[in-house]
Amino acid sequence: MSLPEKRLIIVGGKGGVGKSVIAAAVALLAARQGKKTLLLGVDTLDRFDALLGYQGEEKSLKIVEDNLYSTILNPKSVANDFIETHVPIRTLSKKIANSGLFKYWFEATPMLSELLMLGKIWKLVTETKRRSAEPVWDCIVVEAPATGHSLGLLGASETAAQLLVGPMRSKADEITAMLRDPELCNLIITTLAEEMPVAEALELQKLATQKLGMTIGAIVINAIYPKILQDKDADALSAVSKEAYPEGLSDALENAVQYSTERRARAEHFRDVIRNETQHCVELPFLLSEKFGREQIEELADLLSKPGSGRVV
Amino acid sequence: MSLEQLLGHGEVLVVCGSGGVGKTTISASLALKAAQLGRKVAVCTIDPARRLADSLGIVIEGTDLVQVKDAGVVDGQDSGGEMTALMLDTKRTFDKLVEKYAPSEEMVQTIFGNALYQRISSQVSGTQEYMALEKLYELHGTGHYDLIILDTPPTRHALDFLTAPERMARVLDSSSLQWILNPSSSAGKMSFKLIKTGFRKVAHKLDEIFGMKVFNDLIEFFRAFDGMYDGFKDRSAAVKTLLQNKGSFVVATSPEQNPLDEAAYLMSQLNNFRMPLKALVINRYHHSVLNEQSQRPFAEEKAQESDAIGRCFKALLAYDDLGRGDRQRTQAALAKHGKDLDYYWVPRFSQDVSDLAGLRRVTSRMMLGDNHGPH
Ligand SMILES: Nc1ncnc2c1ncn2[C@@H]1O[C@H](COP(=O)(O)OP(=O)(O)OP(=O)(O)O)[C@@H](O)[C@H]1O
Ligand SMILES: [Mg+2]
Repeated sequence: MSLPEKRLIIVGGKGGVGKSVIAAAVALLAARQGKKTLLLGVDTLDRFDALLGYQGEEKSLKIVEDNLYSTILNPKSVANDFIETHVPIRTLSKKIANSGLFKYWFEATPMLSELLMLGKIWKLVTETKRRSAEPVWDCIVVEAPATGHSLGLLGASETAAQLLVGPMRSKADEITAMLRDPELCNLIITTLAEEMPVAEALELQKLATQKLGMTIGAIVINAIYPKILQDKDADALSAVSKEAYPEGLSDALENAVQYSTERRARAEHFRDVIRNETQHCVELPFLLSEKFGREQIEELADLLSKPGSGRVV
Repeated sequence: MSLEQLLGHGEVLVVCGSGGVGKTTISASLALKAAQLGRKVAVCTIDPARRLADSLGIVIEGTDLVQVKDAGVVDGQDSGGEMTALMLDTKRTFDKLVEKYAPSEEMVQTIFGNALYQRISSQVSGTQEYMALEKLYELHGTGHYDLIILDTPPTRHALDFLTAPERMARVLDSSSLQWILNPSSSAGKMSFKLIKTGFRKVAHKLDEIFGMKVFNDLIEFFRAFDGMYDGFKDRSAAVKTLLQNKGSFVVATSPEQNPLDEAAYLMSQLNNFRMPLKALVINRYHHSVLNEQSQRPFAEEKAQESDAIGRCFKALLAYDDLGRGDRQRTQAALAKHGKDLDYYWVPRFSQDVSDLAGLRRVTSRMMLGDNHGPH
């Protein structure tokens, strides 16, 4: 299986599980397959710089490399877009956008910023080159906000459609259709092999498929702790004499072995929970490195590109 | 001043940091320590984990507050301290504020009935931060407690909660909005007129799109708040003074990169706002154990073996690396703004902290201070 198969890939999951990391790795992979790729974060801190590096800027996009660009969408930027569209005089639209009132107003209008952000994504997906019907972007990888917020985001067009009339309504329907089209859009759910992230991942899978009608591309189990010890190693350790060890080392060793055993057992347990729940499971190891940057993203992208990336550990 | 002194003598303590680092757990264990020191402490939490809330008896404010049983007992000795934990109810707190400052009962009802108020008072980000500070002020004002600990909302924009009262007060300042709201006002300057027109255009566009009366709600909302502005402004100034004079801030983080980056940003902002930052708690670190002189080299050599013992040493090195990484990341990220601060470390426990016994464990580890962090 190749992860960046569809034109629109949305990466979701609990906060802190590695959404930015996975989105960056998938985008890098897509770019290496020759696709012109946009990596887009929705209402998040910009971590892509630190993960991928970048070479320059072009309008509001950052150029990572030849085929790869990144940017961040947030409520403020789409609100400004909205005002600029309806109040074409720049100094004026700026003044309005900067009035504190507007911030509250935008936030207090339900789903407005979600809808505008989805609309922006839709625009990027459907945008075509000037002289042909070909899309500008071959692949758009979206890092969605953490679970609760991403459900709000992804469901906004459908919920809004019930309130809207006229041209806005058909626009909302088009956005919903885009998200539901299995040939165009996939949701990649990221999780850790731990209790809460797994519970959220399964909840997200359920709601995204049943309520939003989306297609799951994969559940990525990220950062699975490696199997360092074999079954009987702990017994062998207690049998051996530790007299020659430096002081304090014996206790430390025991603690570490216990930690390693427990953490690996927990990882296997929750990995199996996910394996049982889905056919599209991709597993990535915990990288034991102090820094996390370009090098690690490349390593993960390589692992993702291997045909057997279903079972890496 | 050490954390212990702060908990023993301070009046107001604010715990802040990014989401997911265990802020509520840290806040509750700080409160527990204060109770153990013999003080009457209230901890106001946001969204506590269900199990912890149940076992401590944390209830939504407004319901009868219960004291956490035996919080002040240490080693069988009762210090006489008391701990009360409550959960913030944003909307209720806002309602109370409106009731306090509205000129008439009629006005209170108009505001409560306004659609925009209903959303702003419960959903809009910024409101929770604002109300958390309001609650802090209110609790402090009752005089029932020696110390109040506030667990702040997990905001993306870390310091929103400090500026929230001012921003809210500014938004509610309807006098500055007359030129938008009052169609007949001849605000004078041409640019004002233009803005007014632009503003109305966007507003009507929204009404058209959503088939709602956004604009009408808005006008009603600001008319209703007219006259209450001064009250809100005074209140927010008072909160700020309270924080600057009697407050201490504790930043909580985990030793991972994103939370650390946010903690560093938060610390610089606290400095900018002249808010008294006093301590740093690093939660869930890996307890690294090996010293460089003898233990680490010995383990590295042993780990070369491919037998069971060799693998055990590999596990030890991997664990040690996690702890080293935690320490290095933490120091690198926080060096700039954390120079004169005390660091407190709470290790990653193998079990969830979900009851008083768990909190006691956190408290006793945390109070050991920097010497007991990863080396
Ligand atoms: N496979 C891995 N091995 C080791 N560490 C990892 C791995 N994947 C991610 N991490 C670490 O986890 C941390 C969180 O990752 P990331 O920033 O991608 O999370 P996120 O889900 O995007 O978080 P947020 O919800 O804040 O956007 C990173 O600092 C990274 O170092
Ligand atoms: Mg992220």
